Amino acid sequence: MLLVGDANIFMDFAATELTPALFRLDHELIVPEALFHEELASRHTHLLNLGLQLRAMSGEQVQRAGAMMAKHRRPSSNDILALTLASDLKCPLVTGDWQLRAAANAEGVEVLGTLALVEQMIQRKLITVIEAGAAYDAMGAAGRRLPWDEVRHQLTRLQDGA
Amino acid sequence: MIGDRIKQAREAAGLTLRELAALCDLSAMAISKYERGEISPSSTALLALAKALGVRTEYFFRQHEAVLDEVEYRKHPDMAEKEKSRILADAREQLERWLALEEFIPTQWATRFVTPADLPGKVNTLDEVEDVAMKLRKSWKLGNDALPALIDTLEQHGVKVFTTLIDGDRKFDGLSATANGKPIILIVGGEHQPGDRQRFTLAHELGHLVLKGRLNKNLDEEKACHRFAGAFLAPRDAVLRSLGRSRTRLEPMELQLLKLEWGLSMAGWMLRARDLGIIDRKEASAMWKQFQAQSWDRREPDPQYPREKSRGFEQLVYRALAEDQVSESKAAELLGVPLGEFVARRHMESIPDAAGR
Repeated sequence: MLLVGDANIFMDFAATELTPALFRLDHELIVPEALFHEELASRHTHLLNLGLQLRAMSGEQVQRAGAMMAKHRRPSSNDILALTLASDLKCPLVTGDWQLRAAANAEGVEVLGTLALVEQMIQRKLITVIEAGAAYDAMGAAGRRLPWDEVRHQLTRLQDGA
Repeated sequence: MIGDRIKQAREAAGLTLRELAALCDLSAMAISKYERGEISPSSTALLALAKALGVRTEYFFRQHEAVLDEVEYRKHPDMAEKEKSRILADAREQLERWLALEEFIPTQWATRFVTPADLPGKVNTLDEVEDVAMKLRKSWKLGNDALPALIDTLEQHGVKVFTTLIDGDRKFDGLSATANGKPIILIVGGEHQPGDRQRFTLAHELGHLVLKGRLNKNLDEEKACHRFAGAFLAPRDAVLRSLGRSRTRLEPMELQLLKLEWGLSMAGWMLRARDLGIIDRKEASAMWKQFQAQSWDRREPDPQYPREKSRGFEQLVYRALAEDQVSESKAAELLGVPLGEFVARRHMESIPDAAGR
């Protein structure tokens, strides 16, 4: 499946050992080229080696993104580029940013968050539930904002299911 | 919209279409079409333009446009026009980020700047300027004391203070303007500006804001603002108390100590003494010659009065982040840093440089 990411999602996983597993899920993970160059390139170029794809956006797409920014003022401009791209490609947007999630919901774009990706990793047996728990702990220690109640429920549910 | 922003950034950088085209490997024709909104740049073109213009692509999408009016400069008369537009662009850029932040949190700037109702409609002499400064102090409840936190005082009363590192080859000290109807003062930060000089500029620019439309046309506005600045920083009663009513001469060390107490330069104190008739004009000009001989007209003797900082934009952004008022991506955008960099900064992996104003 094609997935469009924002920069935030990679920050969540950068706190863990799970970034390579992100790219072993059967997805094509893409980000707008501007977002990559401006938000990620200085510290996270290794994402390209792992398989992250960059997508340039046409003038029309940039213009549409500009209109969307006027409508949704809380997410950053690069986040809105990602939302526009996901909307154009009719594919889910991967983000952990609550402001961007709200904008995506308003635009009818499906959102996958960090929890959904971790769950997929467990289902595909790329990681164990225990490893997932350790990864969440690492995210918490790094000050990442996650819905911690949902994290607990997810781990309990998957533990029981295992 | 995007086109206007490209044009603004290009003009702020002082570049022609051709010059910009050469810098970013686009044709001048294409850039001209972008600027006129005939076509929209692709993200690749946008990135190239941003890089050449020293901004992030976010700049081209900004929703808040800062419009500066009634700009009054405190500068050397031969400062280049190009420097002026660079300075204005810097002020606008900072303002836009404030306006964007204000969508998320209320800031001090919500206070409306009002001049006291009892100010005279017409000000005819420099002595009357002195009275205006006193009335403003009274209405702001500042008493007759030194104002150690001048920037804070101004911001509490609705004047937003910004600093810039552009000093136009040391020919620029500051400016006042109204931005979207609200008063701002921009002062020069950095090494060459001791705190007392910045404070004088602040008070001088405040003078422009307060005296606007009130000065008799025979009065020179710059001189009036100088007088206002001196009177606002060191009010008449305090000067008379500190120096006495009448003096034959003043000791430089005396002025140095007063400067450290009041944040008004030694030269400023000397001029206060002259303007209030404590020393006569002859003595004042003799003292000034002495200042020049020691090069104190360029830099007064150490220790320098410390510089003040304007209320930290950066701190407010972190506060809004902590309170979940902005998301991490938006916080990074407001500070103009890559998200990857910002996350590292939050965890203090690297000490942020002085660029965060």
